[in-house]
Amino acid sequence: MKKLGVDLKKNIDFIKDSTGYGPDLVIKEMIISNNKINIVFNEAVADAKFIDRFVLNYLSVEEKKIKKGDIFEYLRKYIPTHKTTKLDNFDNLFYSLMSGFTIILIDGYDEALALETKAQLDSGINETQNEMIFKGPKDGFSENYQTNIGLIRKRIKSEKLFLEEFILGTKSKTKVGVMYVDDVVSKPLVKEITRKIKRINIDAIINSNYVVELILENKRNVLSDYIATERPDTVAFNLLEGKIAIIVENAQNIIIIPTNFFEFFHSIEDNYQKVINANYTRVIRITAFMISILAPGLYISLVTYNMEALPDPILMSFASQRAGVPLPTILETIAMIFTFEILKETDSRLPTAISSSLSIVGAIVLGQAAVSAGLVAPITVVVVAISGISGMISSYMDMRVGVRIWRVIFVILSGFLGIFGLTMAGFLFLITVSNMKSFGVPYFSPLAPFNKDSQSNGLAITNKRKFKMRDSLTARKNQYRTGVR
Amino acid sequence: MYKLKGVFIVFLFMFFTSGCWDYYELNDMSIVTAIGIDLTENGYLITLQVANPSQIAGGESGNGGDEAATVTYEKEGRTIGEAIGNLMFQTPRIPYLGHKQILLVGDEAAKDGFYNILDYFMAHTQTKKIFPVVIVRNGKANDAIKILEPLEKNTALNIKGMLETTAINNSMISNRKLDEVLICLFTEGRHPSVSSIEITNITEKGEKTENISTSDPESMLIIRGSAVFIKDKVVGYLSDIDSLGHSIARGTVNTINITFPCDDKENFGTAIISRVKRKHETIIEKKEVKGKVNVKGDVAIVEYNCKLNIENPENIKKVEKQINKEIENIVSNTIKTLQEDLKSDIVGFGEYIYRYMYKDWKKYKDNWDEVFSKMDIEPKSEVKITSVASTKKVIKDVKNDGKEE
Amino acid sequence: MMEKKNNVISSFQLFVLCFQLIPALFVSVGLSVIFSLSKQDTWIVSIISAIIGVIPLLLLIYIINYEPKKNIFEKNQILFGTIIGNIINFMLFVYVFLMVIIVNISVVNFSITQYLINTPPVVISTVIVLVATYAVICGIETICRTVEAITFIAIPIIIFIAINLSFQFDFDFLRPILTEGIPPTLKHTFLFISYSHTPLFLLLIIKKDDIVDKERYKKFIMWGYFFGMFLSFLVVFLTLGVTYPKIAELYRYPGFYVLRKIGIGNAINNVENILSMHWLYNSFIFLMFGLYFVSVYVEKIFKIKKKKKLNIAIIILAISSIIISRNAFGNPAIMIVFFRDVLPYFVFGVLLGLILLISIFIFIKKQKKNKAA
Repeated sequence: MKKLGVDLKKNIDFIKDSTGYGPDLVIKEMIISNNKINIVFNEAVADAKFIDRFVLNYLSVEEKKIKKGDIFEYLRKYIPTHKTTKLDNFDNLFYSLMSGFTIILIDGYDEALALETKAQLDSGINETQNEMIFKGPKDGFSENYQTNIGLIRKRIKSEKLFLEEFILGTKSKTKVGVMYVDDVVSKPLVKEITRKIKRINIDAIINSNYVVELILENKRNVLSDYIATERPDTVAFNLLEGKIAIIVENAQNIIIIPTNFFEFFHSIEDNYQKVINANYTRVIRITAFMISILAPGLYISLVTYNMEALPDPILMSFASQRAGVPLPTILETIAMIFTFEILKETDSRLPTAISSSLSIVGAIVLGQAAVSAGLVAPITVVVVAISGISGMISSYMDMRVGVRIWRVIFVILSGFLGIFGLTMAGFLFLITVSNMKSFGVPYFSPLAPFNKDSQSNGLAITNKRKFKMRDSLTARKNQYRTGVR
Repeated sequence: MYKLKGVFIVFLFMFFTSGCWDYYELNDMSIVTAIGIDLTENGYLITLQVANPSQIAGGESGNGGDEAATVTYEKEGRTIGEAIGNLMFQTPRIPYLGHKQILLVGDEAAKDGFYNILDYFMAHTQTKKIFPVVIVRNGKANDAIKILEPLEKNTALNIKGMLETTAINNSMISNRKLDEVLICLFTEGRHPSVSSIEITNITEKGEKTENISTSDPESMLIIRGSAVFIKDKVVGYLSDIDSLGHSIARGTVNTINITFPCDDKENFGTAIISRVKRKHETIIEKKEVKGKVNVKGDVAIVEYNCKLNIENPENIKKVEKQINKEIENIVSNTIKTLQEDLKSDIVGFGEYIYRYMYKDWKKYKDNWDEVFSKMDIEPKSEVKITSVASTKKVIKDVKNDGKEE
Repeated sequence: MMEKKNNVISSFQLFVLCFQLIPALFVSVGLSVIFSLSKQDTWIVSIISAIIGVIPLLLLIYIINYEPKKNIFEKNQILFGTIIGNIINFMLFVYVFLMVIIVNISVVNFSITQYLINTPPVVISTVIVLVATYAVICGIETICRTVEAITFIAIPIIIFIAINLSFQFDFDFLRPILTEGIPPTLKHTFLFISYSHTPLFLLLIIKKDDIVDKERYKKFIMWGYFFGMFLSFLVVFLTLGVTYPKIAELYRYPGFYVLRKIGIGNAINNVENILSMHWLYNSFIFLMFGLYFVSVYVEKIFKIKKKKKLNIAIIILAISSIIISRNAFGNPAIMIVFFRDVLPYFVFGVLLGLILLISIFIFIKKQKKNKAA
């Protein structure tokens, strides 16, 4: 923590040495009222036009008006930027310099002024591209920290929406903000989360999930215990339920904790429709999830272990289809699952121009040619395709990738022991899911500690939850939406 | 947690290296659709009918052509299990007995006794289905299985379909499934009865595909009546009409198709009786055992060739009386046959005593069949004509200008 | 964190636990033994035993109520002093471990004869015990939540079975009623109670303080008991009514055999393998809870503090139960004899006697306290 010295030249030399004096570091010298002033900023992150037009202009025009006296105090009070801070040590100076601030160093003073002149280095407010809904607003978060906070604040204009900020990451020095509604959330939870955030020790926070994964305990589970969303209305709804949002600079996704298993099958659109229609959709989503996990395993165990459970015409049809196929059923299913995953993965990483032709190749090769060549049975393709498509039903990416491993575990165990193995795999899944806890809220609630009040937004949503009451597990203080503010 | 993962990975390797134990691929098994049992001097002759899936299945993977849809294998053995085991010499695949089947028992094997058959099929693990049983009336099950018929590509579905259609439309069928035979055997006071089929025109051609390529096959299987047991051996057969009477008395009817004569005994009418409710009971009065059978139902007249004008309410009552009389005739004929010729109570009067008057049953337990053959049983039927035909008069009447002759 | 307490159990979980534990011993030879003794009156036996069996349940609740912060082992030490308390604890431990082995054997036998014929029994036993061990390592909370989740899967299956079978039900099969009179029926009632109440003794391990809403737990346990007995009654009733009682005597697993009769049209037939899984759930829950019981005892005896050592101890217990269960009984006939003659008197009788003893001592202690105060 080297402090600034009084000598201007020494300060400037130190700055040049430490940063390597790259071409984007601009040091401008001026003389105002016989005081030597150096203006330092980084051209890449500071808004150069703003500096030209306002700061340098002011300094050059007002030069005559600046009397002899405390030029530092004068500049601090009258310079026309909205945020000025005093700096006295080099750590803060470098942080401000690299964040886009303009530093004014005056000879003879051991403090410097930092002016907020950040450039806008992102895309502005975009449309949401990853979570599509029909009926609601379509603005989404971008990589700009202030804009994200602004999008939330404009939906909850209450003064009780608090924001606490931390700076994490020794090299990246990323700003991390924690937002919560003070008269709904439970204070011990907030204290716990902030305490854990302060203890994070890592070199860079590249994306928002780093923050969460460092404070939560379930690192080895495949199902995630936080929601990462890019929609402000989801965040606003959940904040009012008593949850906590974590906003990270340069990250487009905002994290909401704590969460439970069934939240992954909710979508904010359920609140924008009539309750019964929304429940119908929710039933379809949960059924699709179960189909996605169970279908290949059930197919294998029915075809190889428990053939009598199949109806007659299906049995004959399967038997004739499998007549020429080389691989045994279980290996064939695993091969098809992995092929499907390969197809999905290549399709998602390629640019649009190539991916459309690739999907045609995949469809023809897998769908037609492999079946006609006798490599796989058509029924296996059908089962794996249904399972794969049903697995994408969740609105959040974490659940989509989480089901893949469980599907393979189910397939292996049911190929090993039939329906018995399928049941064992089901038990394993239930035990793992019941074991997870997301900040005191058990992961499988409201189904597994059966909480009758929380059922209003567990599997199905009810009018009571939408209009009158909040979630009783997380909104500890204030459970009524109606009435007194 | 690590140790658990380690054990799990060891299991994965076990799985891949040693193979699974109960894992059967579908194309390693041959799906048996019908089993026939016959008696020989040393034991049993088993005939298996195996389905050829590519001929039966839908979808694009079947071949058309001249292959028969089924193949038959037969072998002898001292017990049923040994015979099926000996069949392995012939089949390239493991016979899979767990699927839909029908059991055909030849005439002599049925007369020899059913206990061995029941023991094998109800206790063996792989045959998990409960399947219908028919007895081949005038021949061997071996011949019956080999007959190919069109419309259903294998015998099992064929016979099963026949059983079902007859059961629904005519109700001339009694106990159909193997486990019902077992239940009857354990019930005190009732003997089982099973449907029987008959082969018409046993020729060589029946076993070839030529039989199906004409629209008038030479050999066919038809259902005819049922077989009557005492304990587990077949003692005789009932004709079609008698089976109908038995169904009515026993109560396994859905709809009855009755043809009744008119007053002049030359023309007939046909009626369909649905929603049949029946009750049979045994009454013991002063050491005399009597039986009663009550039948009620709703009648719809299908065809009426008599001369009565059915618009007249009194005439309707006459027609009802005729129908009732016909039903009572059928039932009493059946019971007479049972009492005199076969001496076996398959209706269940003894069962009634066992269930409702347990203390008295102990007296009759040992010689119930003789008591049954001397019993006095009166059937009574009270069906009502409920639905009216769509024409108000019989067409013949309109032609004759409504004059009653 | 929200709650600083660990091991939080809710009353609803107690309800579900009772409901699932009671039929746990029936999946093995329990049903066939009772059918062979009291043939068509088994349903009457089940109703009477539901009514009479409330008495041991009340004793259990009385014991749980006393000294809310301690589990059964510590309570025994307070009541009887150290030496006799240790002996009684050891007896409880041995009996529960015995029951874990029995359920192990019965599950394996059931699976071998019905689903997986050629698989070596060790594999089946290992898989199910290891999955149960994993749950025990995670703690009592996980066990209770898993039990709840399993129940939500089992209830639709049970409703489906009940609705389907009730269409094929024939009241005539249940007659004649009471052919043998009342006294044998009472004897069979004792047999039935011994099958259904032995798993309930596992509930003693729960400390009353761990239950979240303490005021209502008694009501929930009673409701769970009645639901569990109703489920057993339903199984017995439907098996008798759909298949004939003598056939129920014939088969080794009549509850499984009756599921063969379920069918919807031509499509869903022979799904008995899938539907009979709900028997497996009961046994699995029993295994989880039984292993937890013995692990608490081991933790107390050897004074294990670290969690890793406790996990190793649990795994050792589980593997030893697998090994013993493979070598215990020579042939299945001995197991039937065990169930008919040994279990009701020597296992359940002793446990019931222990419960009576503990209750009497609690009563005496409370009287002493009242007199002293």
